Amino acid sequence: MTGSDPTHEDEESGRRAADRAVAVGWAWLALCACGGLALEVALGLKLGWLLDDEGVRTMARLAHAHGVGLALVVLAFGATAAPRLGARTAATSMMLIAGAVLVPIGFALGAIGHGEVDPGPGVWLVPPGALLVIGALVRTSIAAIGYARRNRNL
Amino acid sequence: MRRQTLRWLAIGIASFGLVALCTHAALGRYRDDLGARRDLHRSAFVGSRACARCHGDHTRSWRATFHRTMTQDAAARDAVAAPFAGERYRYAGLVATMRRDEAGAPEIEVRDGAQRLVWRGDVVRTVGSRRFQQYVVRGPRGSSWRAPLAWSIEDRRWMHMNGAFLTPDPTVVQERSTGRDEAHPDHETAREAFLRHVTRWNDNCVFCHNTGPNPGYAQGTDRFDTEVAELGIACEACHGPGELHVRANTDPLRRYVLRADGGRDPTIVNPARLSPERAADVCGRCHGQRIADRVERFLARGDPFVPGEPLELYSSPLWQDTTLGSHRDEIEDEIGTEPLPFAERFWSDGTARLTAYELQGLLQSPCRGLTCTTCHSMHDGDPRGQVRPGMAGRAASDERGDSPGARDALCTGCHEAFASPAAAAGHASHRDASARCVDCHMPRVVYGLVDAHRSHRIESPDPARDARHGRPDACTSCHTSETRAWAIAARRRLWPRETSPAEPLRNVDSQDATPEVLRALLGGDPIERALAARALGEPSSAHAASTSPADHRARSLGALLDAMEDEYPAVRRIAWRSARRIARGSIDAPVWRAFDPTGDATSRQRAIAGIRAHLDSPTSPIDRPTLARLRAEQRAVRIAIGE
Repeated sequence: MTGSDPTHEDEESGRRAADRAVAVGWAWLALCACGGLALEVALGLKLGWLLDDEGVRTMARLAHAHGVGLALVVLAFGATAAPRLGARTAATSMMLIAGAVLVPIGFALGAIGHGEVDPGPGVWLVPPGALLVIGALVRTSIAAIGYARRNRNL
Repeated sequence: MRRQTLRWLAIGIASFGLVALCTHAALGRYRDDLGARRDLHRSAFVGSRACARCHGDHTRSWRATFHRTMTQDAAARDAVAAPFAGERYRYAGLVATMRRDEAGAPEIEVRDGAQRLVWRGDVVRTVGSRRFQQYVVRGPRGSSWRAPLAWSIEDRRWMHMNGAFLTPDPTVVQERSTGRDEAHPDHETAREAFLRHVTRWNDNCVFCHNTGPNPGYAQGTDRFDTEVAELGIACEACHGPGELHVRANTDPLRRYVLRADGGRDPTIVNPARLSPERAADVCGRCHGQRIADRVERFLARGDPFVPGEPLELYSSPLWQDTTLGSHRDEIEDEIGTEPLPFAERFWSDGTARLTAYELQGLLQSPCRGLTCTTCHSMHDGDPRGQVRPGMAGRAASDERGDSPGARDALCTGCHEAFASPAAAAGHASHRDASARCVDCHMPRVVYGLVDAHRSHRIESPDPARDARHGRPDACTSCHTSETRAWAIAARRRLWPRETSPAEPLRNVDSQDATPEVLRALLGGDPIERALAARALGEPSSAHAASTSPADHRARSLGALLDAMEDEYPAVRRIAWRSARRIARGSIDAPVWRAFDPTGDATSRQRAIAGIRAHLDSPTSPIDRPTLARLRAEQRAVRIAIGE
C-alpha cells in the first residue's frame, strides 16, 4: 500500500470496504443507541434488574458506551480512511467491524451470570474484540501516514 | 481471494488451538493451586479496604453492622457519640468533666470536691456504638486505659461504668445517699470507687474488639507495643488474613477457574464452608469466653488462632468448674484468689448467665449440626443481633412483620414435624400460636450490656429443673404474674409425656403466691433481678386469666418502681426502661428523664416519686413486709466481668 500508487482494484476494494463500514456503522450505532434508550427507560422506571445489581448496571453501561463509541469509529473509518487506503482496507475493515461488535457484546454478555467479583464469562469476548479494534486502528494509522506521505502532505 | 480466505481460516484455527492448549494447561495449574492447602499463619492482614475492591456487596453489608464500629479511632469522623462539650457528671463524690482540647480532641478529667485532680485522660479510641460507648485514653509505656465513664447511646447521657457493668454502687455512695456519712468521702476511697473499672485496653479489650490484635507486651521493659490489623471487627476477623488471597486473585483467569470450580479458595476462609464445629469456633473466639493455654504468648505476640482451626489448639472455653491452675499467678485481677473463679458466671446447672458465653451454650445444646450462622448472618438481617429471618422471638418477629411461615422456619427446617402451623400450635399448646420456638427453648436467662439475652443452650423448658438450679424458667419469664408452682403444674398438664412423675421438687414453695418474676426482681441475686426487670417490661408478657390487663400493668409498674431503688445501677436502669415501656413513656419526657440510674439516691427517690404521681399511683404488687422479706433474701454476687 505504501511505496506505490494504489491500483484501480485497490480503489475498488477500498470503496467496497468504505460502503460496508458506513452501512454497518450506522446500523450498529442505531442498535446501540436503542440499547442506551432501553437503559434510560429502565433507570426512569426504576427497574430492579438494573438498579439492584451493580454488576448488571456496570456491564450494561459499558456495553452501551462502547457500542456507540465504536460504531462512530467504524463510521469514521468508512467515511475518511477506507476510500484512501488501498489493498489492505478490506481486512482492516473486517477487523474493525468485528472488534466493534465483539466488545459491546462481550460487555453485555458479561452481565449474565456475573459474580460479586467478576463479570460473567461472556466478558472474555472483550479482550479479543479490543485487540481487533486496536490492530485495525494501528493498520489504519500506518496506512494513513503512508497515504499522506505519498501525496507529499506529511 | 480464496487463498486469502484459507489463510485467515488457518490463522483462526491455529489461534483457537493455541488458546485452547494454553487454557487447558492453565486450568490444570490453577486447579492444582486451588486444591493445595495453605498455611494462613503465613498470610498477612490487608484490611477491609483491600477486600472492598472486589467484594463490594459484602463490604456494604458489613459496614452496616456494629462489628465495624466496635472500636474506632477517636479522631475518625462520626466516631465519638458523646458531645464532649463540657458536660459535668457527679458520682462517688467526684466530678468528671468531658470536653475537647484546643485541637478538638476529646478528654476526660476527674476532680474531687477540693478541685484536686483525681484522673485525666486524652481519648484516643472509642469502644461500642450501639447501647453505650466506652472511651479509651492514652497511658504510659504504650498502654491505653478504659475511662471510668461511658456515654449511654440509648439514654443520651453519661453513666459511670458501674451502671454499664453489673456492679453495685460503692459503699461511699451508699453511705452518702442514706445520710449516714454526710462528710466528704475520703479522697482515696472515692478515687478507688470511681476508678474501679479503669482497666488496660492492651491486654483485655484489644483481643475481641479488633481484627488481628497483638498486645506486643515486653515483660522485660513492662511496655506495650500494641498493634491491630484493623480497629473493630472487620472482614479478616472471620475470614482470616487476606494477603495470600488478594495476591492470588489478581489473576483474572484464576478467579474464573475458582468460580467454575465452586469457589472453594484455600487462600481464605469462608465460614459458610467450614464444618459446624469449626464455623462456631470462628465466632466462639469472642462469643465464648476462654482461657489461653499460654497467656504469655498471647500477650507478647497475640492470639495465634486463625479461622478454620480448632480453638482448642490454643485455648480452652471457660466453664463453671474451670480453675486458673498454673495461670493463677498471671491473673492480676481479684478473680485470681477464688477457687472456682468463674462459677458465678453460670447457673448451677452449668448454663451461662452472662453474654460472651454463647459458644458454651451451643456446645451444651442437643442440636447437632447447628452452628452460629444457622441462625445469624453477618451480611444481612437486622444489625441488632444479626439474626436471620425465621429465628426471632415473638416481639422481634412481630416488629419485623415476618410472615407466619417464616417465623420459625430455621427451627422447622430440621424439626419438620412442627413445620405446619397446626402441628406447631399443637406442640406449643399456646393459644393463637403466640409463642415462637425460641421463646420457650431459648429463654432470656442471660445478662449482658444492661439487658437480658437469650440463652444459647437450646433445651426444652422445664420449670422444675430450673427451680432446682435457681435459674429463671421460660414459662414465668413470659407469664410474669404466675408462680413457679403454676408453671410446673402447667408443664405437667400440657406435656405429661415429657415430665417425669418422680421428679423431686426443690426451691418451690407451693403456698407462696408471689409471682416468680416478682420474687426474682426483689429477692434474687443481681442477675436474677436484672432479668426479672427486663421480663416485666416485655410488651408480650402474659397475665394470668384471673388478672385484668390493667391490674397486670399496674402491678408490674409498681414492682418496677420498687426495683428502681435497687443497689445496682444496672438493675435500676433496666427497671426504669421497663417501667417506661409499660407506661409508654418517652425517654425525653421530663418526668422519666429525671431518673438517672447512676445519680445520687436523693434525686432518684425524688424522680421515682414524680413518676408515681405522673402514673396515677400504680399499686405496689406486694405488701411492705413481703417486700422487706424478699429484699432480705437478696444475694450479693461478685462477678468480675459483668459486661
